Amino acid sequence: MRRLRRFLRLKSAGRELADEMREHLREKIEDLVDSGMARAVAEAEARRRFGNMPSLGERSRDEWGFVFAERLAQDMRYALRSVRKNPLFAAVVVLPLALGIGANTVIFTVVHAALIRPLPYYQPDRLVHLWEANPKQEPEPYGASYPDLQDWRGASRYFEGFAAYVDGFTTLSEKQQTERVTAGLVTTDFFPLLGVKPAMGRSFVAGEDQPGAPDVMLLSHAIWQRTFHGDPSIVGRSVTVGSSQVAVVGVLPAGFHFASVGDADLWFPLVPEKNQRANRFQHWMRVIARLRPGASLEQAKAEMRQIAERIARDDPAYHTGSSILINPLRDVFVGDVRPALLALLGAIGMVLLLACANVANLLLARAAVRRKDLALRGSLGASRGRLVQQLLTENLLLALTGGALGVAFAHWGLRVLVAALPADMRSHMPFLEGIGIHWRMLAFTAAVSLAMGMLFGMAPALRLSKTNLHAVLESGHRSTGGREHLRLRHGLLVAEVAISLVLLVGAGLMMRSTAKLLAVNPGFNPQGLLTLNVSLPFKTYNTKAKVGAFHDRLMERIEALPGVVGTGTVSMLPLTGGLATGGLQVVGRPDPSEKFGFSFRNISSGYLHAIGVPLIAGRNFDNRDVADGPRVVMINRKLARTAFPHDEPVSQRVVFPWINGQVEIVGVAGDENTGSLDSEVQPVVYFPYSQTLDGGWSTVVRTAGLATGVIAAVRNEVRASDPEVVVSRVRTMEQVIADAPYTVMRRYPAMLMGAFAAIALLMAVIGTYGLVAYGVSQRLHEIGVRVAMGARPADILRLVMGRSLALALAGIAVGVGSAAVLTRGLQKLLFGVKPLDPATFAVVAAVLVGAVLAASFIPARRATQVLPGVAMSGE
Amino acid sequence: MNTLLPGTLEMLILQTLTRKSLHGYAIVQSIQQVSEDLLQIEEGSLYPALQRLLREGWVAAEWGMSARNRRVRTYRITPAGRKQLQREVSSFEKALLGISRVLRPVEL
Repeated sequence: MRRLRRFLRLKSAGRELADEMREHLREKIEDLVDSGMARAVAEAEARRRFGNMPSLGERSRDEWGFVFAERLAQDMRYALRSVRKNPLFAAVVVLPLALGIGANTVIFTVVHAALIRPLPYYQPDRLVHLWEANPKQEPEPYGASYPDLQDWRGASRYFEGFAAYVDGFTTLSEKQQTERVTAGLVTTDFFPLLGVKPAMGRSFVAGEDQPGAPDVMLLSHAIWQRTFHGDPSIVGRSVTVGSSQVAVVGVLPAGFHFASVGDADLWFPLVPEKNQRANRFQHWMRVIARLRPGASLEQAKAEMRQIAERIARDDPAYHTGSSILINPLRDVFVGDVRPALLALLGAIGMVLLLACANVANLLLARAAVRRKDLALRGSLGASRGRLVQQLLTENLLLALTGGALGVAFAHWGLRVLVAALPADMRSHMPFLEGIGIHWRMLAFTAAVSLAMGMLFGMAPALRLSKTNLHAVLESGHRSTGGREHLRLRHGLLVAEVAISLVLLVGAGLMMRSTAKLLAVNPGFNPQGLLTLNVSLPFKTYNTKAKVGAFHDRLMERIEALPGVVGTGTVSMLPLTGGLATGGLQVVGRPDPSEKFGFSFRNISSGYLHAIGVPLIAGRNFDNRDVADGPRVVMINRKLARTAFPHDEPVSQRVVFPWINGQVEIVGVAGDENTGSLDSEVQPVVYFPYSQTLDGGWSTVVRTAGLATGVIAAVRNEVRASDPEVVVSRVRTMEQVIADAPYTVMRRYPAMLMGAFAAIALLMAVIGTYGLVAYGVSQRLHEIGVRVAMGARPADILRLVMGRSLALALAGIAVGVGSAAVLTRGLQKLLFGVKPLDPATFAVVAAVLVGAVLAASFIPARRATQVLPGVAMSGE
Repeated sequence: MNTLLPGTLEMLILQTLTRKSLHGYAIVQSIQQVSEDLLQIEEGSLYPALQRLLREGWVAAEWGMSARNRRVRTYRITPAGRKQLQREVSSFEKALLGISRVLRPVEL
């Protein structure tokens, strides 16, 4: 009741005041006109002299019945004016908000595409991937042999069906153009199992996987568009693939992808050869299956456990100790990306939080400054609703600008993010193809940020309606509500420093990991090493002799190039992984079932020298190792130590499952890391290329200068030798390492996390600066008095900066605690660095303290220049 | 006006009204005249100050006519206002004394 009365009194007082002020203005104008001024000029001058006269205009318009829209336009003009008056403030509010909204949307869009959006198959949640595993013999899980698959198909209780696939490369010739394409080879039940129907034509039918069946293939939608220009009559046509004519039976739908095969453009029925059908040791098929509706992963695992036991009983030689692993198909597709994505999602969430805290902080700071302005307008009769409406308009303007910029950032950031991935890895993340902004997420993020901005932006108006306007006016700038605001702002600053610390620590740990990873010695020298793939057209090179002749001729020509120190060929480049083999046996060992797993490489005699792996014992391959001569191998030191701990390996004989008769070890080489920089050196067996001859290989070229310097010359030599031979993937070894998943999966999130951390740091600096500058302006009187009482500049500095240092330290304490918990989530992404690496924590803490002190130094220094007279005089 | 101490405007208004009852516009005119235009008053800030003085009971107001025959509110100082003026002047002088002592060149 008292409030109401006071309110009414205020209202009528306001009206009287408005009348009075209007009279004042008229009088002034008349005076000015009397003194000879033109009326228009006089009006402007009178208004200028009068200063800010908000209530007057509003009142009169109210009386004349102006509508809401009119006010909105007026508020908008007012808001724009206040932005123009203080563009820096608008920028520091809007930019972090936009970055937060944009980056959050981008990361969530990718996470959604990779982890949440259903795979483009029928009921994809029931699809699983199966592997065999035998940790004692092979470090990594591997595929199934053909007989294994037949046995697996017997599991019908919880499984609806099985299908298998492998991937490979071939060449496609169309209109005189030959291109190298990725191919998927699949059992005929593969597409029905996925529930994928071709967009045109038909899928494979039973019988097309039998030897002697006519050659058929399916096209990806992409190659149909790209190479065949969407030819509507493509189905039924014959196309040259490799050396044969293959009939196109169908075109797959546009959205189809199968990540494990990369961006395969041609799909063929998988036709096993005779020995592949028989051999239990050749684990070459990769198997997927569909669970029955309602079947759980646990039930499926139990059923496969029984099958694995039966296979081990039937075939103790190759399956003792083997088990079958089952994973949801999506997990296999997403693979290594998941931990990186989740880490980034967490990080970006924190950035958004920080952006909101930052906006809140800035708006509160301004609120404190504007309290008096608002109180004045209020006392002059502007209604509270009116004040609220005006603040709302202003914040809406900032928020909408931030939101619009955020959409732009999201749009642009998504493209940059996807483009930053090496093409190789992108092809194994088909879920990124044609990825579009996740609009619902964008809307959600934007709504949260806007609500945040509104809430804090409205604080002064809400507070005003609780307090007495006159009290505010009388108290001058030392507003009574300031204390509460200040406590809130201190809390926000502590939070900002803490979040920055967590992000900086995360970024620091990942950057150190990347550096440590790249510093690992791979057992050879990757500098000055060019690599390229060479594929021979099968129709010309249809005998081993022809392949061998071309190979040797090309090697000679490349070797003779200026700037080339050595060259060689290998079936797979170093640091790119290996295949399961089933293990070798040493002749003469008492236990015939003792087997040693290994990765194998087919190499030419110049390979080890070219990449820089030393010969340790015995001899290198040479021209004695002819195609039809006695079979020989070399092994690496790692295998020598595990298989021959007590005796000399050279001249020992070993047996491989797929080679009849015994094979002699002729030499031992140093440890080339065939797998990846983040894995141990694997045992390796080298077979001489001269005895394994096959029409595709990787060539390595050791150069005296820059590896890139000989690219044109090497390409020329290949073209001169035979223009039909396809050269692909010409890269330096350093590029190969940089593009490898183990590197990208660390460097890429490290870079993003670094960017996020930089944004965080910037916001913490802005926050600190704002807080200290505000604190100084609030304490000018006090500082003036202190200076008057003889305080020296150093004392003032200490006084002003001590507070921010204390807040920074509190933030660091909170941050260290949170980081200690959160960095454990990064474990999988780290290499050679512990999640609690003290050096990283120390450096980050020091950087933050430095940044906070630097940010508070500028306003603090200004405080030391305060003259006592100025400080005492108030405004 | 920007260099005035807080509360100074009220003091100036009271001081002006001791000589004669005036309406708002005339108060501004008078202050500027008396100070020989040294003190420029942002005229908009006059009214909040007058409101405060009214509420404290240091001035009283009544509607009347201006020299230009317009309806204006005329202010006059109350006895409480005169006491307040004395208090303010003395505290202002103390403050000035303090400042001038601090600012005074060092004498040996």
